[in-house]
Amino acid sequence: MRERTKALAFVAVWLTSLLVLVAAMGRPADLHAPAAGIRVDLTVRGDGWTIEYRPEGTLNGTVFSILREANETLGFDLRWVEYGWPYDDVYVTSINGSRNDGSRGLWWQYCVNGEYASQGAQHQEVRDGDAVLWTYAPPGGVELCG
Amino acid sequence: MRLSVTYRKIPKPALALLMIVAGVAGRILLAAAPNVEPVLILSMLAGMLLGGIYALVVPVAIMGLSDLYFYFVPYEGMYPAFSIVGLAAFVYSGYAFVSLMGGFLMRRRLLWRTKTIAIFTTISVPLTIAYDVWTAFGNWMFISPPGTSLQQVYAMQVPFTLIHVFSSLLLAPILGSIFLAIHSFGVPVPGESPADTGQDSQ
Repeated sequence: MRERTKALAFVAVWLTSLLVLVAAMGRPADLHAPAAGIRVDLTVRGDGWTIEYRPEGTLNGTVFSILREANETLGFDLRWVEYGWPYDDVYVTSINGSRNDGSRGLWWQYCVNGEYASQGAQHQEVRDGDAVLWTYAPPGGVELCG
Repeated sequence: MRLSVTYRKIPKPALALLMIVAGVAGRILLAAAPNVEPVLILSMLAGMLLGGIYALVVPVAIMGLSDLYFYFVPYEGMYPAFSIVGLAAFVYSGYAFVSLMGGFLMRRRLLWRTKTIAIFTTISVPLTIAYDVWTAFGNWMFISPPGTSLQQVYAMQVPFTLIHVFSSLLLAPILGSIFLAIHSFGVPVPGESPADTGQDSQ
């Protein structure tokens, strides 16, 4: 086989492999913007403090976008790291001055309606009447959601 | 006088430095997409094209320099020193293993051929999986919360390994072709056309 034919065959196999892998792992970013305003109960439980936010008719439909709305409305400090494709999500590193702290084992985690997070906050949809809790605690599970 | 492009071979230390610069810049620029990273492929290339002490120096230098950035800027104060050092032992040794295996498996295959790049790309897949198995074990030992089983860590690792395999498949032919070409032919430099200067091209 000529070298050029080999190169073309390799590029074809290479591109096909990449496409198959993208199909296997990819999910498009979905910001879940609700069509009509929804009511959400947001509680942020930090290191000796609590923030509560109860928007009526918000158009923000993810756990992170509700937190961002509270941050902009109430003015507390919020820091996060954005992850691009293929994650398209965020990692919250600090809320109201309480920073993820590996030496004390305290990290920001969230629950929705008493269920521990199962995906990134940017992808977790919230619906009308949902209760969202952000808690600063050692890594855990549903026991953090009470 | 007419200017032409000639190719000049570059010595191993310069090629190693080029790999280190590409690795540090690539790791930092691709930080927004964790597990999409050039270090594993550059480690393989260091073992394959440079060998010897460079097989260890290149991956360790890339990781050391870029870790300085990550642990002092975006992740400053987030992880205790014990966790950083413990995980680093697994990550650095993982890349060193990949580099040595790259050198061993690609020995006597340094011809500028499609087959070389195809074999290099294929080998990068099992090496990526082996690296992830090793570093996930380190993750379980030093980062995971108490009570997390090794089985849980490996189960959670699967989607990240898929992305890491994608990264290797994507970057292996690109970086492999570039560095194999530099190794085989050198870097282009402007020079005078031998025909116009009247000198023998030999």
